[in-house]
Amino acid sequence: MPEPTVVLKGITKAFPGVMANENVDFTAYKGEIHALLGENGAGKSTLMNILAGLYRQDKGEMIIEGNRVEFHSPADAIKAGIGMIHQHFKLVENFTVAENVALGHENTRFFVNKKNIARDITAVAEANDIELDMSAYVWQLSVGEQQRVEILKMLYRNARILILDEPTAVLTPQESTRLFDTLREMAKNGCTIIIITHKLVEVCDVAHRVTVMRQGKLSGIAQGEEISYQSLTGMMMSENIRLDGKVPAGKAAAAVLEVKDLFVRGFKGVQAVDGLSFTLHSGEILGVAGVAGNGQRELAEAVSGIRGIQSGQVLLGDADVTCASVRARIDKGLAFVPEDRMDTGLVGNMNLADNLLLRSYWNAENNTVTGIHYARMAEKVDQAIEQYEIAVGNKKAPVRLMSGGNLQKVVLARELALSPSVIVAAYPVRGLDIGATELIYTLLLRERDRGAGVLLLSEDLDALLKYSDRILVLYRGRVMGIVDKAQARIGTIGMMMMGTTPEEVAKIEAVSHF
Amino acid sequence: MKRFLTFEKRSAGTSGGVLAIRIVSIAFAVLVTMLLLFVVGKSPRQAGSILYSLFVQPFFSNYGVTDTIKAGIPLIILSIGVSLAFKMKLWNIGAEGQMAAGAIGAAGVAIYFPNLPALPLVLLMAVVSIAAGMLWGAIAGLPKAYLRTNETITTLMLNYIALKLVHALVLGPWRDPQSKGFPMAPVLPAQGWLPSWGNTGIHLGLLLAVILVAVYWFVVARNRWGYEIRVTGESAKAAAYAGIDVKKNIVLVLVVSGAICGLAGMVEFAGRAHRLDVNLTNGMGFTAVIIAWLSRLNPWGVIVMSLFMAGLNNGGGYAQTEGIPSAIATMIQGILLFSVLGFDVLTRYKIRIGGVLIDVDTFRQRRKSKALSAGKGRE
Ligand SMILES: Nc1ncnc2c1ncn2[C@@H]1O[C@H](COP(=O)(O)OP(=O)(O)OP(=O)(O)O)[C@@H](O)[C@H]1O
Ligand SMILES: [Mg+2]
Repeated sequence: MPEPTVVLKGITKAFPGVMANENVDFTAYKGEIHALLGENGAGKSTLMNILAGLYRQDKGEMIIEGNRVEFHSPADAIKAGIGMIHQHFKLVENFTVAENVALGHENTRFFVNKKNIARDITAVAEANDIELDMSAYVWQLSVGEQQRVEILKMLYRNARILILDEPTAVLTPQESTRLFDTLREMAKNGCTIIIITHKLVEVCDVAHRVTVMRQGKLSGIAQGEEISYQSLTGMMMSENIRLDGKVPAGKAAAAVLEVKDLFVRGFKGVQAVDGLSFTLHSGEILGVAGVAGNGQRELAEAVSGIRGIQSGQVLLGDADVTCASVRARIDKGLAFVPEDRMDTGLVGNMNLADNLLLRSYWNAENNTVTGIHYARMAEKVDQAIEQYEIAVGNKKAPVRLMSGGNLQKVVLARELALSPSVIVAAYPVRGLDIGATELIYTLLLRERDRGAGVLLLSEDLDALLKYSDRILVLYRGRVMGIVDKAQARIGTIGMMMMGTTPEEVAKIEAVSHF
Repeated sequence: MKRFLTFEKRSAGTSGGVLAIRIVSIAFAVLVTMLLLFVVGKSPRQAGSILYSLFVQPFFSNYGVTDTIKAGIPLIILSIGVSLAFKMKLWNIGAEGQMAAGAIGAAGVAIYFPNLPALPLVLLMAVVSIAAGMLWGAIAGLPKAYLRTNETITTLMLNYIALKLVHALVLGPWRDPQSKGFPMAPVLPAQGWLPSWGNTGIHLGLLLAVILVAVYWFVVARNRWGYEIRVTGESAKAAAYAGIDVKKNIVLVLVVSGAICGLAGMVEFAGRAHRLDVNLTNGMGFTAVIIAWLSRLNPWGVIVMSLFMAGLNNGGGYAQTEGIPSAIATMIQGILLFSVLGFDVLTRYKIRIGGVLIDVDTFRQRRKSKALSAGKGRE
């Protein structure tokens, strides 16, 4: 057995109202990819934030490469060879890749020898098989590339222990595959890699060892052969939930949302949505598949009224809402679960009551003559907590302190409270554990059966095939085709996502059959 | 190489910690002041009485408290106006100019309608001063909303325009013929003076200030519009998602903020100064920015910090009568302000100097855990 590089013993950390970590032991070895699993709120990020010097444990000790350490700041952790990559990248958009990597490094002083630094950085990148254009500006990069910059940044600081908090939540499947190739390479070179993730398939695929947490405590360790989908879910979940099972089809009825010839410009004026038309019916889930960046975000924002359009028409039921305000659309029954939960869907520094108000604070029932009816809101908060099983320490605390799964529950609690007729859900299960994911889909199915039409944007083709009644494939802002659930197969959809028309797909399939 | 001095952002400050830091900062300033007084050759006795007039008299003597309240009234009103804008992260540093505009409006009413009876005169002055403040706010707000100009710069520039306008008026058309050449406008007719309490000079403006504080609290914490302001201040994206009309609110908030500061000009004019001259605003608009910042936009904090700043300013005056030069008095005020602002950094950052970590919460936690272990020991 190789030497352990990270040993955490009896780590305990309490936040007001919750024990985020309770007597947790954790060991990771040199050259391994170690997955850290657990439900939302299990305390994974907290444990890793302690290891990376962001938080300080109340109790417990840390032994890194054989030495007892105490961290007072992330800088201390970096000095000990520990680098952490958070979900929200900390890059400067207007700097180049090389500049970002050098930025804040302790050898980067007032006078900068750009050539030497660029050479060093390139050497580090090559040694680890990281492909990046060093002179590109960060704003020009895709999410996956930005992540590579973050990794490079840590390696350039000599990180031998790399922590990644839900690295694949924001990546396309292709980008994820690449990331794992890089990580394997790094592990082979002697790094210790710790990844937090909710995607068990990935874990089974890449992890050498797995640590599972449950409600702040260590719940199990698995390695090698023991790592399987079943064993892991068993360790993670408080009770075993049924994960298979077919989803009954919806009963599509009248049209609730019609989009006609929609043109929308995206970031930096690119033609993001380029003549798009479709109809969403009551009682159906219309899945939207597509490689990231093919107009999904712009489509969702245009339909919900947040982004202006160039031309086209949007109908909610019989009402033409092409020019209607966000508020008018909400009042006409449009709900929107945005992609960016933390900054758009919720206000991190506000409490639960204020966040539940966000899209209906003007409604008569939420107001009294004098102001917002906070007494009623307190009841609604309690209701939401109960109905959606939101785990919350202090109801009055800012929501940014809640874990990812609970945040999404808050968004859904709010958006579904008004019994909407149309629900636009953009990547609603990103970063959620299996339990929370199931819950979110169950909620969407329930809304569908109640008679709402759901427009479901997702990068997870399996989930789209499972839950959608029809799948719309988006390619460069246009509809490549709309496939019924009965006819839909992953291969077909995948080809359409790459720009193959349904007719061509049919031809290819016909040929390959004979 | 290790950096000798580093700053790290702390998570939200605890209110207990903030209070403790304020007290430490004042103690620190007192210490430095004493040192300064010894350096300029004051005996411990003299230093004692100077310290008394600086820090005790304004807050604990009858006469001093009255003076402090009088000086605090306009500061409270101005700070409320500034806080409202800051709440939406609109950096209105134009309170000085908005106050001057309000004072010009009120003085104009007094000059052109000197024979109005008391109530109509006061009401008209109030309305015109509010309108003038609104105008000053709108001049910054409209381009901010529709052309994305930087409000910090426009509001700052508008200060100088309003102040120069006061100058021009009191030197020219509005100069009091009886002022023997001094640049000042005529005295406000007596019926226009805000009623005051006994012979203290504490006037109706105090009531108005307290009402404004309560209204501000209510609007921000309870009201729909206040909710929009808070959401927009926190995240522009969330505001768009909530269907909030951000542009409209930029204009509205700057206009209302200007209106409140304009009203402060009228209150100071009709309540205390009773005539327009170039010293009427006296930098209070800038002080209000500091007050809003130090009180964290908290309405009750605004009252405390306003009275504190007012007393500090008055104390400098008293100290001069104790025989220290005005330059030293100003310096001591500077030390105190510097100390309060300097220590404020501690509420926002952890600081590490060499190997020593300075963090309020660690102090607090240590104290708590000490108390805990002490408790266990006893069991
Ligand atoms: N800074 C904080 N202040 C207060 N409570 C916190 C803080 N950070 C986390 N918590 C709470 O501690 C618990 C564990 O949170 P943590 O973020 O570690 O969970 P997680 O396992 O990473 O969950 P997720 O998968 O949703 O990211 C949660 O109940 C959370 O609300
Ligand atoms: Mg987490």
